[in-house]
Amino acid sequence: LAFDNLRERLLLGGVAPRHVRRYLRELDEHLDDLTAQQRQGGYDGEDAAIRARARLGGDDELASAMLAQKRFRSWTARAPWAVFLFLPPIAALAFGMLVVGSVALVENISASCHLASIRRPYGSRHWRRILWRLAI
Amino acid sequence: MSETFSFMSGLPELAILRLLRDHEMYGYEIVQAIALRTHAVMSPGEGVIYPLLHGLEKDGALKSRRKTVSGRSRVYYSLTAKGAKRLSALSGRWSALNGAVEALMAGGALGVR
Repeated sequence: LAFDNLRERLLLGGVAPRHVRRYLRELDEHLDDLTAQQRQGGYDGEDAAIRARARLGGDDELASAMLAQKRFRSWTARAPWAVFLFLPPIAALAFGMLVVGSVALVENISASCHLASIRRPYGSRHWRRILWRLAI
Repeated sequence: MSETFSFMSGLPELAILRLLRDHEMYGYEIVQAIALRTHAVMSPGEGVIYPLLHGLEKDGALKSRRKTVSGRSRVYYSLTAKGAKRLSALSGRWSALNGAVEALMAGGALGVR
């Protein structure tokens, strides 16, 4: 809860989620140490928490420090053009391989059934037709 | 030295690398040590140290591991061989800059007409 606003700003700024998670986790641990230090200094409850949060830094300062490091940004933030250029062909290729693999699997099972002299309930053309319908 | 460098950039990095040369430390510990050694002259928001630490780790200058001590789990950072080289280079730059500033502040004849 302490870092909800910061999390949102970092994600909107394009920082990769895994870097955001790591940053916030370490900030949270640091805040625990600072709060304990304030308690040892005589502050209690809310006072200690407020003073600790102030020492950790404001959201602006903490967000700027992370956003300044461009290498922690996600690919979609760093090179959106690359994602739109490369993702569709890769997805199409993966889908094509899935269809071909499925057809090959059905053919294989069908051939095995035939070899074992088991009566095939449907021919391979039937299964191919079903797969084709599923694909489109 | 042909390389141009800004006055403050690299100083927090130098402090981190120098502290971690002696032994591994976690973020809070590093911040406290910097404040103690610099008499709190260098005291930004304490949380801003993490992007720096993560950046140095990504560069291979530091390595990290999660360790539990006295029931508290924390990320400890330590210097790598690459980090030691970087520290050496940065120390050289800052020593040169320090010498230049001292000479400047001392004043005296410029020897320029």
